[in-house]
Amino acid sequence: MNISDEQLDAYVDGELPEAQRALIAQAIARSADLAQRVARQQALRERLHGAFEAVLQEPVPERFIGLVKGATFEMVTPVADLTAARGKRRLAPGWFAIAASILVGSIAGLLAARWNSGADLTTFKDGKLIAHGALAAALDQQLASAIPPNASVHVGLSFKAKSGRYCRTFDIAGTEGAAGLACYDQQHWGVLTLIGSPAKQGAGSGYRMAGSDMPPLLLQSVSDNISGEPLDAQAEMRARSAGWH
Amino acid sequence: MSDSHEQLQGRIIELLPRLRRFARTLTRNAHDADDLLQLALERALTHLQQWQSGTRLDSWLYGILKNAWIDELRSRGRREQLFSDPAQAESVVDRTADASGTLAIQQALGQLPDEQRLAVALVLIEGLPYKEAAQVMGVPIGTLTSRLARGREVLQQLLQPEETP
Repeated sequence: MNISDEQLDAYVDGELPEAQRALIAQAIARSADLAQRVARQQALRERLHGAFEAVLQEPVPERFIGLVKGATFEMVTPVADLTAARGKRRLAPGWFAIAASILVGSIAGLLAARWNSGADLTTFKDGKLIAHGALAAALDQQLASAIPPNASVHVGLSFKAKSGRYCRTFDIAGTEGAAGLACYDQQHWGVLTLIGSPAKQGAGSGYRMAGSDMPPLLLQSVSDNISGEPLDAQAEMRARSAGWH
Repeated sequence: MSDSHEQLQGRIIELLPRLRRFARTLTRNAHDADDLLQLALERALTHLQQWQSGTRLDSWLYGILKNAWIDELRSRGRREQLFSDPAQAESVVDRTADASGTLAIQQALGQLPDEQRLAVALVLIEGLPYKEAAQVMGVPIGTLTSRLARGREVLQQLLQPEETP
């Protein structure tokens, strides 16, 4: 029986009707050459499949789930043109942003769940995202001039907002990495902006809050809210002593 | 009975890992793949009413992703052919061969013409039947199988273990 490569491929791909499949299986059993050709194609299939299997195990970025669920995500680089997006990404590597004002429903739930499972740094109160745990503690106490060496949260700029409240930028080290802006409102630090990085560079390196290093949307959020200049070290200390009121 | 909007959303979310893998196979770059997926999802969600209930949702989404990829290649004005010199290509495959051979496979896939890579991705990696893969590609089944056969042959040559003398 003469069997073409195409027939053998179809056999390996499970595309043959049962009768033909049985015939070819018999032929393979009688021919070492055929058996070798089939084994070669099966091995290729398995290698290819195996090489990309790991992608299925990777957690799907929340922004895709949010997109499907109809949430509005404000992208730092709206992807209308992939080449342009790639160009911009060199300036702002991998950042995507979520304005806190749209942190509602499923997205907020997902984000809080993820963070809560790891570091418990944010929580919800009256439908608003507020700082919690180590993030709240850092915003309460940390001075930008004296950040403990192993701190998981780094406070950056502090300033008085147009609303009269004190606001502080922060970044969170770790595998997920994030940066944001929180403003003190009565007894809590309300998180106004939260920006996640899917590819935080150098876990634990911290995000230096020099303006040029800030994710663009965070910088924008600071610009939109700030009244006057950022606090200097002394003003920051005085604000802390006054309990950020 | 047609799916409710929520059911459809749920089904798309379930397909996201596979769509990501498909994008990764086509672009061979995690960042580009996610940009591509983003673009494809935006298109799919805008045209969700065009999906015909009773047909395979995965094939429909693969098709949109494929179209977005082709548009992207065209917009760049060139096809991604990193190596025109086969000898150079082989040396890269050798150098990057790792324990699981993943890098070697990605490099080898990069040597295939786009239409062959697409056929390989749909059938050998995503596991679509020929009929579905041909529909996604918009070609007759015979065209699909010949592209697939050529793609297989190139991959076999690039990935074959070195003969020990």
